[in-house]
Amino acid sequence: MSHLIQNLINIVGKEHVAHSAVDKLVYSHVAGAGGDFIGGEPDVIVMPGSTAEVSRIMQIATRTRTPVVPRAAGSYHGGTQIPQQGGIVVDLGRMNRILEIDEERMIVVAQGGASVYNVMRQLDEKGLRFPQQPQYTSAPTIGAAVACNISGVRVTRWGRLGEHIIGLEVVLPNGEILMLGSNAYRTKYGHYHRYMGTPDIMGLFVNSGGILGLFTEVAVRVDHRMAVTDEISYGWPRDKIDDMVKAIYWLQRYDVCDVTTLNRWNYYSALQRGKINIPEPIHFINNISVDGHSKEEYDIAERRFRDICEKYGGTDLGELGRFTKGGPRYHAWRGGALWTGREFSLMFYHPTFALSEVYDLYEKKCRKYGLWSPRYLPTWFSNTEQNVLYSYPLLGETYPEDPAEVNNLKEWYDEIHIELTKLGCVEYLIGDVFPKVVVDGLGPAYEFVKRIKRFVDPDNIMNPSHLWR
Amino acid sequence: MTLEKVKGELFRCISCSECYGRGPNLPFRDGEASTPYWICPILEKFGFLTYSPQGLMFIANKVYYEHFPITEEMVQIYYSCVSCNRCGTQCTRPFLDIFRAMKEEMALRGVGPPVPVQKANENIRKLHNFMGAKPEARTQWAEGLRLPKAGELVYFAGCYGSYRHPNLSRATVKVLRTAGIDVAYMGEEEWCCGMIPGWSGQPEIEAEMARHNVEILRKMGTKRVVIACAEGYRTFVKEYPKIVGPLPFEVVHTSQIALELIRNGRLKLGKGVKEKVTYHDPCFLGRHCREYNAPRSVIHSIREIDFVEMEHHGLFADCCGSGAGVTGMSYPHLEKQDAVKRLKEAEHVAQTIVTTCPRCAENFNRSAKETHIRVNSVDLMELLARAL
Repeated sequence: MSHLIQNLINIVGKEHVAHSAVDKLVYSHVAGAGGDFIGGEPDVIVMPGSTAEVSRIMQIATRTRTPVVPRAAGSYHGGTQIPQQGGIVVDLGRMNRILEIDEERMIVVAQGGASVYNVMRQLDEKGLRFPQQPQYTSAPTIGAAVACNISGVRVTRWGRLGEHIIGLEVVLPNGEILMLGSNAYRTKYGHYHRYMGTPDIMGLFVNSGGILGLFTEVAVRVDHRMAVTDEISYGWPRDKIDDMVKAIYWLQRYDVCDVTTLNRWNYYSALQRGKINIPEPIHFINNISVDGHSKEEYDIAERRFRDICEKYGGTDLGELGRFTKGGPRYHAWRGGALWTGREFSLMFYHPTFALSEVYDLYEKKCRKYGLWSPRYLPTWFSNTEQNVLYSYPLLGETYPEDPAEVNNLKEWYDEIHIELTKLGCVEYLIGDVFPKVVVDGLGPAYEFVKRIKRFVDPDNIMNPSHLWR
Repeated sequence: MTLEKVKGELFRCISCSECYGRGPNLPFRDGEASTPYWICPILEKFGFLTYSPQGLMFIANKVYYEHFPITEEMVQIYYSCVSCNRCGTQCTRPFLDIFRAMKEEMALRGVGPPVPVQKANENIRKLHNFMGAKPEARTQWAEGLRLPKAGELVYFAGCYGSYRHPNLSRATVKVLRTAGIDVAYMGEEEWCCGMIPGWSGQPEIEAEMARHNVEILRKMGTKRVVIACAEGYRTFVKEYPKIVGPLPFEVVHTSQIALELIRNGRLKLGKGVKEKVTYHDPCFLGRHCREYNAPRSVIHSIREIDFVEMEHHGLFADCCGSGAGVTGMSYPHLEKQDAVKRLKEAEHVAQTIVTTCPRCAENFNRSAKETHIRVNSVDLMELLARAL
């Protein structure tokens, strides 16, 4: 190991290599309780400053068969950033430059370690915007955003980030630097198009969860910033979920920018502290993003969406939508967070029309395990994406000083994964923390993915435990 | 406050990374415009997440719950933290309480604080000032001013205002007297506020200072204490009540009383000051006490002044790097890095940085001299005195 560390120091310099007990401890920790079940810490953490350095690191890793796990903010809850088998954690935090913003071609090119929000801010200054507005924090990087194919506000109309990537620079496990999409054929026109006239290999890397390579450069097609953007908010009681689903369906049909569905638990802290008011018996809150190139266009869209919501029994919740910009974490915090620790989050897709069935299951399982209470805050958060919902219920955790309580949560976690899969839901990002039935449900497709993995990474050094069983 | 007292908070981190930046905050959050790019100062210096508030929180968790050993490296991690509280403004977790608790653990186990800070704390205990200067020299700045030893309004000069920046104290008295206030002074009975030991793991020394100062002020019949130093102000407002209970007097910062006097017409600013200035928000007045406006309003009241904001101001002001003096004494090279960064930002907009913390001002002036950056730093009260 000392030989490996010295090699890494020779590549990036001593100040960019860390391997003390404390460093390893911190880099073994990620968001989400799932990560804590996995366990594992790196042998060394390295922060390269260029694609060339990343390539050299990967060459050494392959030669020595040392596992490599890429790491950004560590805010994904599936635990895929945990270095289960030790090895090298590569933190691209130094590679954080925005390389190009082209207003004419409407693209942005950034290094893989660039902060997503820094990219968004720079775009905003030029009257451009990202396709969706991620609801994370300032630290997640654009490379990780591609690896996780992130969602966000406006995903209903514009889809996920992966659909807007036009170019990638990937360092493969063997150190080879692969240019894809607009990176592959850069001509005097610069970046402008994703497809190379070949099978869409870039799609292989989107949502790959760090198992196929490291993203050192990303090119994204962006949009013109809308003149007017605002949020409206409508609520439905628990027993009117089917009506709400109909409203969501028609909102999608009429090209709504974004529909985000939350349950009342998201607002628990704020309600307790009197910061907001959500009348009983409202249980579901839909925050609907509306935008327009002009005030007139916005007003027409807003009226249309209000009519749909009211037709299906929605209650206007006034300014609540604006309060909640930023996702459920921010709601909890603004209210004075009362919940603790890591989140037991589930992330999966299901069709819009299945929301009622899926939510019934979620509530049933939470109640079964005694989790339907303020102590656990069983929040629900769905992004509507075209004709599917990406549902993201979170569950707070108590202190792990009570093993019985933790076991209870683990049992809930495993059982609900199995039940959701049986129901027909699809996992957001397959990972080792999930029960086997989740991957078995993919059948031959999963085996094909493994074959690709073997081809790209024959020594299985990139995030080795993530995909294999 | 050891980790035992904050143990309930150690599991409240959900590792979302909001606390350390590496980018702007969520754009259009709460309808606000996007924030500037920001990053935790020690994370910026060291790069690894070990040096982030999240990392420090996680380490404290493991030290308490899993008895992870406290190492020498941890001393550098925690004492490098400049206590700027940017993390605390982004998340509701009491980061600074937790970091103070860790430093107290380190002191109890004999691995901290770093030697220069230990010396400063010893000076405070024995000589009642962190510099190790003679106690009797404390009152030299007030010679000839004939300040009464009792009164409703007392000026607390602090160590900086007494020994290192006597001009600041004289300017403050001048401003207050011009407004017709008969400002009193504790004289030799004034002891260090105790902030440095409080922030470096030796709160018992801070407590000793607190009890003494409050008792003397009580005997003086004080109704209001005016403090020019942001750190002293914060210590009185936030820490003293935890030690002695509710204070029998009001505590105001010089910027606040100056604004009050300007607004009620008691302080007339007859002279213009033709200068291009910017304002540096000291962490202990700004993010710690949420006072951003009073200093700015005072500056705007000065005729002919040309005031320009730096990009990183208010909630997102960059720290001078001194870290309550604890970081500055322990790792002066780190302090200088932050100071130079701030000076370079100021250089783009103005020739003078106005601030409301003498430690910030001293740090800036020293670093500017060493690096030949042509920016001068003055205290708000010194600027105001020129406008009388």
